Amino acid sequence: MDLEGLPPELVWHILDNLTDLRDRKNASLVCKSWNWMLFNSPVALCSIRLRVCPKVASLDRTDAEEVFNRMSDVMVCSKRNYINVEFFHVNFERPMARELLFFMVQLCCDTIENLVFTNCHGLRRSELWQVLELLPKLTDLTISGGIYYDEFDNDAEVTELKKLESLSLDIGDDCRLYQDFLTITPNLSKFSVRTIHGCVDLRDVVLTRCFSHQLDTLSFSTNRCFNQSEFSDMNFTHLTKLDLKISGSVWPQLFKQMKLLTELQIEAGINDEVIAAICATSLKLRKLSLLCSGFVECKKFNMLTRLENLEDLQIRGIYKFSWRHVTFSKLRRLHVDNVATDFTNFLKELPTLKILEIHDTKLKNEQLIKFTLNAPTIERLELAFCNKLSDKAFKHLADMPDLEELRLWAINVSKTIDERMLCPKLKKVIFYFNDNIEDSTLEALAAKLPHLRLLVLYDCYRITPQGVTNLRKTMPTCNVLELYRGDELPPALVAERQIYYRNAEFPNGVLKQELPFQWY
Amino acid sequence: MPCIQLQSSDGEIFNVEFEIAMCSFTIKTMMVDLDLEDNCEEVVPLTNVDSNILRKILQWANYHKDDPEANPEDGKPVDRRTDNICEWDQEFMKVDQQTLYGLIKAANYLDIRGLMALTCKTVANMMKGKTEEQMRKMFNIQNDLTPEEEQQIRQENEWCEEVEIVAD
Repeated sequence: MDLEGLPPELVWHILDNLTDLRDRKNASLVCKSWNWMLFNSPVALCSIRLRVCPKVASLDRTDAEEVFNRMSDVMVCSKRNYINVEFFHVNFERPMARELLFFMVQLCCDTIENLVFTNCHGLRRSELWQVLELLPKLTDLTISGGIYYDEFDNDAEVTELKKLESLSLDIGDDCRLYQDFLTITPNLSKFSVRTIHGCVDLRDVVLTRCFSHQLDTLSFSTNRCFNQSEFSDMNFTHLTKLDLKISGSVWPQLFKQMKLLTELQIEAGINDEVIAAICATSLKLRKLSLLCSGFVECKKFNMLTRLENLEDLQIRGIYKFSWRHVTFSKLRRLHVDNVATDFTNFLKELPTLKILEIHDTKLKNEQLIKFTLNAPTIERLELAFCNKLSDKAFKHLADMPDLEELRLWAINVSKTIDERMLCPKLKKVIFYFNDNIEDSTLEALAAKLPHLRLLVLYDCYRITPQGVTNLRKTMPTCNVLELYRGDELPPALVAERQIYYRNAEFPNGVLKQELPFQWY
Repeated sequence: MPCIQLQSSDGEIFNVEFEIAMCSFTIKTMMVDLDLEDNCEEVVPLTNVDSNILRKILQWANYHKDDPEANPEDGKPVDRRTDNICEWDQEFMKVDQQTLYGLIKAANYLDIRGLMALTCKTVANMMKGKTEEQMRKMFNIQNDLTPEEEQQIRQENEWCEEVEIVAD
């Protein structure tokens, strides 16, 4: 009996176990029925997105019109269906692009649930409305880029998008568009909006129909400042996730209702009262990011200890504070750009900590030695731009027996750093911007780290291509990536969101030219 | 220990501990429906499973009899990771393709979820990292795609990407 002797539903079941998209793509070329099965299974449909972009590498054509022409021929013959469709850097001022939009939408109108326009231009309101009316199953809509506000026939009633749950807009500062969107989406539960001048006010969001009562996720970003009174009468009782980025200060009144909040990220001026208000109300918080834009001396920092459920804590931009009397029983990830005082004692009391990220430029060797001695549960250690550190600091790395991942961004370790890496469990190591490590370092590492699966050498100019080739030979199970800025993104690094960006020219991602963190 | 008797398609009769036979939802339902639970004399015929396959299955079921029972209705997503097969299972899966497909068919017929997942993952693992030509050869599949269709699939593949799942 052959594989083909099995009933088709069993073959389908087998193919559903191909989780890697590359394997799925290869298998789709085996035969017609496999192609159909691989790209029509409910499992695959949810995890695959069709990204319409003006570039296809195998087509030796630079003109977007021709690419779209060719691709619409391909799509006519396609046997596949898509739930997720993205238009990526498409200029809809071209007639061909507009045709393709309507063609694709009609082709997948029965399946599309998630529609994304990423940095698209020339989209007209009237056309967008027509597109949305064609998609009865649409639940998620994301638009970034400009939308041209054209008038259309007043008789034409805009239908409500009853199924739409999630809406994300980054479409400039024409407030008429936001009002339109908010009136046709009665069942929205997730809303994300980014403006430059703040034409949409948080209060607009609240006042448009009793919106705030059904909203559970809100992301609000603008360069505008708000004064205290603007925050006073807002009621977000049902909010569970809030991501707020504003210029100027955030005010404590905003948080007085947010009892259900589980995730909170604030990027703004934050003061003691805000921290106190959060810690007094949002006791269910699991994830908290405080990205403070003004230097702050924080006296009430120890109030954070009230957040008993906290699993993920990120603190940046707060300079004077102490970890004294702060404890968390469930914390898994901690990110700080300043270790402040009493950090060692604080670390000792974190039984569940797995991920520690320190981006403190003033961090000294002795400090790190104390940390590594006192945090035995760490699985992932990330150090970035701590330019005072040297090899000595890694003396006690072996005291973190579970360490699997070590990420060193611009840390000046020497070419003999391998002598300190006595962590047999290490699976993933990243060196970014290191001018010391050499081929001999790699050889020594290979001998010491038998379980290494991924080694990233990003801008390490002393490593030679020969050294990398040798290492690949000695460690056949390890993926060794030698990269330099401006290279195309290797698939193994798609999860590392900080180090690449995507644009029309590089739809698959290109490694950043500048330092890999948004904060530097 | 109460036993029941299972008869393979080629007539061989297996004396099987009750508890082990219960890994198969098909047999379990049959027992309840026919009210055979305390009748050891009855022989249960399995017309779709031959003795070689049945012997393998019973060996697997015996090893896994103490595993916690997976409840399909508990709403957990199906585990599709293919790199978490235990050593005993890996060893158990070292069989020829013929037997492997026999096991898949039988596991499906007998509704043994753990074995179904294991066998399907094993076949999927054979496909990993292979080119389409290698896969065709391995599974003896005729290529019914014209060069033009093949080109179209390649180009469509270029526009397909993974939905980013935010890593935690």
